[in-house]
Amino acid sequence: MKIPAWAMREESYEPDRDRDYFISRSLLRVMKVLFSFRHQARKTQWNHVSAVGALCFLIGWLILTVSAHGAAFLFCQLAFELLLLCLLDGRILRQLLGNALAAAAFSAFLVAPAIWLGNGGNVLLIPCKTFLTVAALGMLTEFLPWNQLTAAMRVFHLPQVVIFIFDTTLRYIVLLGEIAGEMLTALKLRSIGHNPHKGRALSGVLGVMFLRSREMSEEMYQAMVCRGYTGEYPATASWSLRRAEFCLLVIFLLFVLLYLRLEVMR
Amino acid sequence: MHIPENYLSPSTCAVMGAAMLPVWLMAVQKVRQEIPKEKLPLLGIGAAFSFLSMMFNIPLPGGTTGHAVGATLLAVLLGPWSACLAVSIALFVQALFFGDGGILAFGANCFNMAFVMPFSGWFVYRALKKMWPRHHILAAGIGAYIGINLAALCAAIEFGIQPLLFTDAAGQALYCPYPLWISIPAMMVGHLTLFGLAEVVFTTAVLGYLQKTSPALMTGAVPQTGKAVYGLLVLLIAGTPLGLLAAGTAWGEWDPAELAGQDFLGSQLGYTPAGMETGFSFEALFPDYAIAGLPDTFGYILSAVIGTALLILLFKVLASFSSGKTDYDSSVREG
Repeated sequence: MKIPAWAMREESYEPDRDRDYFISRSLLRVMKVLFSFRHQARKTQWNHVSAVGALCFLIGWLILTVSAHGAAFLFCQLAFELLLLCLLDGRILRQLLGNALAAAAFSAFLVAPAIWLGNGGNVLLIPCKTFLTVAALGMLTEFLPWNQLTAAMRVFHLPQVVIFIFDTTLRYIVLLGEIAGEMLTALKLRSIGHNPHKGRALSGVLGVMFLRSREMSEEMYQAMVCRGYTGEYPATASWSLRRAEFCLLVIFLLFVLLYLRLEVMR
Repeated sequence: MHIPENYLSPSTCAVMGAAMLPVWLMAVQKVRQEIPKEKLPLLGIGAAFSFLSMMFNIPLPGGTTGHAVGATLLAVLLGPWSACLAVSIALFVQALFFGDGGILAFGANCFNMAFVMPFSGWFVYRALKKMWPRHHILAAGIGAYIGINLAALCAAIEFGIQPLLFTDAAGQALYCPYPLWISIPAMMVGHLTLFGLAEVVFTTAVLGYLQKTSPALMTGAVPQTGKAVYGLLVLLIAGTPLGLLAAGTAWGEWDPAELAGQDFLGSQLGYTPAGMETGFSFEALFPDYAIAGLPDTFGYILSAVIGTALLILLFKVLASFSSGKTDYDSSVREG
């Protein structure tokens, strides 16, 4: 076969350098969020603790942390949280501890003037409390998948609408994130050379996403109505005290005793 | 054996710190090269073992106390460089959070307990293991005994040279007041007898237990840190209050006020060295493993839990940063 001359010619197209970091960066960001959602939903290691039990424990735990006045009780809480943290994987730990320490550093920055004005070392309890609360919340979301957590909210008699919006939001972040990821990949593959209309490219991605989300929400609502949705979220299965929850309860009661001993009767 | 703040002159501390710097750099490099990423968290558990063993104080007639260190055990299990790093970090946590050992004296404490001890213990162990390949636990025991005694000797020499080098115009010592002829016998009596024995018992007992329950740990394969290791840790934590039974202060670890009243070998000191009164002082979070407002036993257990967890967390996080080589061969062998 004879190859035409134009096909034989050496290509010498060298695209100008273009600053299209925004595509890569937003793509990476979307992927990161998606990864963390997927990773979050897949957890099975703490199946034996129900979300309701864990949430109740967390609320009680946070009340104790926030209302403590002395360092001694907070150290006891710190010991327990550090023990739980030891169960987590190194990479997750890095992120979780990083968040908690950053929050503690920020609150230390906020209370720093109080130390200079001579309010004593007690002010430093606030960064400690920040660390404890952020680490506790981080651990809860690490140990339990979010779909169980939203289901557990029903027990706390939150309005139906709130749970519905919360649940749908989380679900749609994943679905729309996938679409955004695909479109950004497509844009990245097709962006060769200098792209003078970056605004148009990005607004295109966002516009298509908005349209898709509207379509999807309508479709979902219709699908839900077809399956008998009447605006009611059924309550989660009846909740009974299992062995793991019993352990949590015992630990909580121990900490309440410690609290009484160290905070109330001192 | 933890040298407190102001017992050594700042210049001695600087020299010891400078001596440890290349050792630490080398240790980090060696660990990065030789220890697979999966085995790094094990270093944290090793450091936690060492931390806990140092909480078991043993009383000696005459009012002083001492403890095992566990550095040779770590050197046998993980290699001397890893042991050096693990014990250094355990000592750092002790100095920073629990006020056990001075911040300025950190270099000196590391030199004794994280460098001299694991390396000497490991060399003895290796030599003896070659001679009696079937009695490696005995070899580790002897290595541990020699290791802790060499470390104590180094600490005694560091204490003892202070009054020779640093005195004021009146001839009174500025820092540690006891010269070599007092410090060496005082340190060595305890370590040659009871504390050395404690180190041997700790090393051989833990090695024997681990050999039975998780032999993979001994052969150097990447082990699954199983229930056996964590069980042992929990047992040690629960047992730490035993260390409170020993009421005295370890030799060379008195407060400045306590020091002036020391009636050691019949010669009461009668003054507080000037360097200690005006020296650097550091407020640890939980001084002497006690937490204000809580019974001593509870504070001790809580300190043990916090220290152990901190060490394990630290090495887990460090392991997550390392992009070390994964040993695929081992998984092939196992699978």
